[in-house]
Amino acid sequence: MLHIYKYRLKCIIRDKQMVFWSLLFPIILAVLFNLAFSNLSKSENFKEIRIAVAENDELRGNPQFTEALNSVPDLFDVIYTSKADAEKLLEEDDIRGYIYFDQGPKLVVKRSGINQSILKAFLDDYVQTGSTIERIMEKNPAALQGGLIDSVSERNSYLREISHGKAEPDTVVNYFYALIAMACLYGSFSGLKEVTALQGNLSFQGARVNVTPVNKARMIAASIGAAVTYQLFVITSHILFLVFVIKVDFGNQMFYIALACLVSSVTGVTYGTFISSVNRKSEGVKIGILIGTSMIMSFLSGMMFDKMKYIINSKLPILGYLNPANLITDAFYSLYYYDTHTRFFTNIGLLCGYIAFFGAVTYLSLRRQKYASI
Amino acid sequence: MQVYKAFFRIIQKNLLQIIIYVFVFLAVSISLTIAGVNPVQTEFTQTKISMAFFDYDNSSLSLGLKNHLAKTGRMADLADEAESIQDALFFREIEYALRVPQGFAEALMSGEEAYIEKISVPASVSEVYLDNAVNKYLNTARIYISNTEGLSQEELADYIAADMEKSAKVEVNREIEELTLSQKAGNHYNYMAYSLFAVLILGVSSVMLVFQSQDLKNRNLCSPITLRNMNFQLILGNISYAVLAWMVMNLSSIFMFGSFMFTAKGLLLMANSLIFTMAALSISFLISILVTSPGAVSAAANVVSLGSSFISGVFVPQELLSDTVLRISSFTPAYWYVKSNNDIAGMGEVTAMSRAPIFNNMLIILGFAAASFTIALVITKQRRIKKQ
Amino acid sequence: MVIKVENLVKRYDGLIALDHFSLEVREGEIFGLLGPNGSGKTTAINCILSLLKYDKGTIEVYGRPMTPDAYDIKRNIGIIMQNVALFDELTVYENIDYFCGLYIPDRKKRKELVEEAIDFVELNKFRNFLPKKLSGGLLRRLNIACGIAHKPSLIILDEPTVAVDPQSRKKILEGIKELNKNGATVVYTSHYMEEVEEICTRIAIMDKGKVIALGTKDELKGMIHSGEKVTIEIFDYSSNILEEVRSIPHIITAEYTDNLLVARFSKGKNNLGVLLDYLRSRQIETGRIYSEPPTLNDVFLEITGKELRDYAKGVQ
Repeated sequence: MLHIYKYRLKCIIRDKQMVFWSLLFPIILAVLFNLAFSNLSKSENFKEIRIAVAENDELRGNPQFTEALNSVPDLFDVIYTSKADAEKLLEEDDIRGYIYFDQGPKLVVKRSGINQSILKAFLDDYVQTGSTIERIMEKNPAALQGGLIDSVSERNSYLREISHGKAEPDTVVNYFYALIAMACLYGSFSGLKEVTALQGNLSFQGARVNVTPVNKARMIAASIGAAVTYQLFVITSHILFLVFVIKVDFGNQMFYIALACLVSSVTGVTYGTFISSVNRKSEGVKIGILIGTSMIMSFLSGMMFDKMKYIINSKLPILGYLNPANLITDAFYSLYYYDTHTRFFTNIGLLCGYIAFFGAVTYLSLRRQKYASI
Repeated sequence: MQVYKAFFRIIQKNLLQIIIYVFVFLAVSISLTIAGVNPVQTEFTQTKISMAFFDYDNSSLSLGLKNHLAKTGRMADLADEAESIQDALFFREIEYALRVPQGFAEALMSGEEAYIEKISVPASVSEVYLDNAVNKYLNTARIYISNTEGLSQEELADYIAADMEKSAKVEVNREIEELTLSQKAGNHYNYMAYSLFAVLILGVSSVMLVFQSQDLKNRNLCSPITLRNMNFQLILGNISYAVLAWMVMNLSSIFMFGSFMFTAKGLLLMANSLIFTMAALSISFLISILVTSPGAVSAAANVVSLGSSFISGVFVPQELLSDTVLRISSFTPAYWYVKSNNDIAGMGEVTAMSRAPIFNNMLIILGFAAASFTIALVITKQRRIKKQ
Repeated sequence: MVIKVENLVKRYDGLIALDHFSLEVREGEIFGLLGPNGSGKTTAINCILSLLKYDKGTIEVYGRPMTPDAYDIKRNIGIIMQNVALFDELTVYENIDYFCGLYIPDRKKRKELVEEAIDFVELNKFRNFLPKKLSGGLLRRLNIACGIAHKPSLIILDEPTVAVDPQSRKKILEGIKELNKNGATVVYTSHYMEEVEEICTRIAIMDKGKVIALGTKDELKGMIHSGEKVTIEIFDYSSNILEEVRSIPHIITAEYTDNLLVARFSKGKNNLGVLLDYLRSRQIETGRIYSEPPTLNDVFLEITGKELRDYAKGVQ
């Protein structure tokens, strides 16, 4: 059996194009993800929002407003102009919105987005503070001398962040875990290759091999073993890349990470053997099925849009438990996030269930040693 | 037109495979559009954020704060236990949780330092909104407290509530429905940068792989069709396939957005996507020449389509990408395509002037198409020379 | 009895591929299975190897029923299939080693066997080559090496010389004879009658899934009426010669085209002499003269009414 394992491994490694791409594609994607997310938590990169303020009498009668604007010079880039001109600027997309006074400040925008929301928040703040000041002046006309303005411009924070567990829930890190899941599912191609080489009605090599005195089960085991070895190598190097180059946080539990890698790799490979031994269509169609299903599974585990995961969880939680990509993603995520391992082992357990299922079906389908036609 | 016909016969043979791709990627982009916009909440009309509020103070102030927050957040019913909170955050059943300690209001009223404990999903826009709301409420309280005397908690809570009722009026100089529809359509077309691209790469490669097989090449070279004619027919076949794929994708958007697709904006979106299709096609053509094993093709398809989509603003909006990233992604056609889509979605009226930058971007995209195509031709020529 | 097949029936979707096919192969012979393309040779072989399901009949190899898990029987079989079944990613040496290793677990012994096999097919110069670098003939030789490296006692070859250059073909045929001399029973299928005639001790002729004739080559030729075929170059032609030639005793057919008179005789002695005498008596000048004994093609022709080669044109 070692003999078969050795040679299958050689066959896998010598397919240069496959090796190149299977190693490279998760790495390239990881780099690109990293680039795309690198800016999310940085507020220094924030650009000023261009706005206009329409000059009219009412504005001039509210000097506090102009002062308020001046107190946040980094937030807005203000142009003072007429209302008509401001309208034009907005139409031309030169400004994100403009403010005019007509019995209180009003905001005009063209679309909704972060910038517009910030504008609104600013104005709301102004209006509400105005109401507070008015009320205070009513109650206590002397407040102005007493330092009212100062206390208004002071802004305290009343929040104290506490941590509740090992790590912060993180949106970004989930994308990387989903990427690992996709790379594992990609191992299904190795599974496909192995089954093709074993089946008499799929390849000539398979036919020849079927005439030899080797027990089918051992052949399957050795071939899958070779594919898993290779896959393990790919995933491990990928994770090492993530840890040392991209600096993704996995928590620090070497053994559990290794276990997750092993189980995920085997899942990917056996998924491939499952799909290719169960259906009788051409290789092209099998590849199509593998790509299509991997994509959908990755998508549902949050790879393009991490909220997808949570939507599934709230609307159709059983799907989350059925989706191997999601199980893999969650396994890594729970290692990172939780102190205990219950969730982790739940995921690993379900994945092992999948492995058993895929493996059993593969064996039962391939065991059929006489074919209706070759 | 034998080669052209052969091209389509091969497509027919691989039809099941191609249909799987179209279906899957279309499903992905439609789901994304329906599930709602971007990974980061940027919509004006915000959806409420799930949060938990643990009140150990039970004062008028803490109640007032809770009511104030209920405008932005949706209160979830949760037990204040470490594990349930952990789980809830893990599954995003809540994104934010506050714990008001006993005696908080008292401390506040007497001008002492007082803090509320917060647990949240960090670096999320929801966090910023809620942080802001909390601090606004409490700062207002502080202003009242330090500038008036003899205020009771109930009065204070009432005053603050009254203040917070006020808000600035916002006018959107467009119809809200049109706004939402344009944005949804814009997003849908952005997702197409991923799905259309992937379908093209996978489809084109599966067919071109057949034509690339060495024996077939040699056999064809012996035929009386000139090489130029053969290439021309192949290219024509590829273009036809691309246009077909484009039509299917656009059918989905007509289905989703109805008559909007026939307004000036809708038509612009369609035209933009057609131009992008051409660029995606030439790049697919280039890939099919460089990559020959089918497993490798799927990897290449993912890297190119998913990767370029990520850095070009399909999944993370361009507003949130750093300048460096945008500079890098400007070397992919997806970046210009997405930029145009966003501009189109954000336009007020379609005027000649607002159209101009869109057309500029289209030219750039066509530039990409021409460039990859030229590279592909050069490579095929080089290979032929090497053989000789 | 090495192989015993009785009444094998195999259908593909209503098309009968094997129609009560029966066969017996004795130890030490080179058994030939001759038939045009589509006659069912490969199907029969695949059934015997337990690769194909069949609808009726029994198959025994070495006295025991042949099933997919009859591993002890399989250990003694070497198979060289019609389609080259090699791994593109492994070199010549590695391919032979791999397949041999499926039969011979002992590493040392295997190493010797692999070397012997490489020598046998004379691929020493190519041992580190990948299959894609080898010509068709060399690939076939490799295919054979993979099939016989473990020194099986029963060797089955299914059309091993298709698309092979004459030099390789000669080597293959010689090699088979040598393997047989060393004790292997050989089953050889082909649609090339010259090869089958050359090396096979006993031959079965197949058509449409049935065995239509069985015996040594002399026995087979003895079954038919045809004797020799005589071809004579004649330049001076007058039509009544043909009629008269046709009335010569033992003549079955006589045709004249392109200056060639082709006459088929039934069995008899001195047929050629009689014909030549006749021509001389009419003072007809002759050019070249060929006389060919009956071939297996003639056997086939007589039994089925078609030539072995006619099938190759249209079917499959």
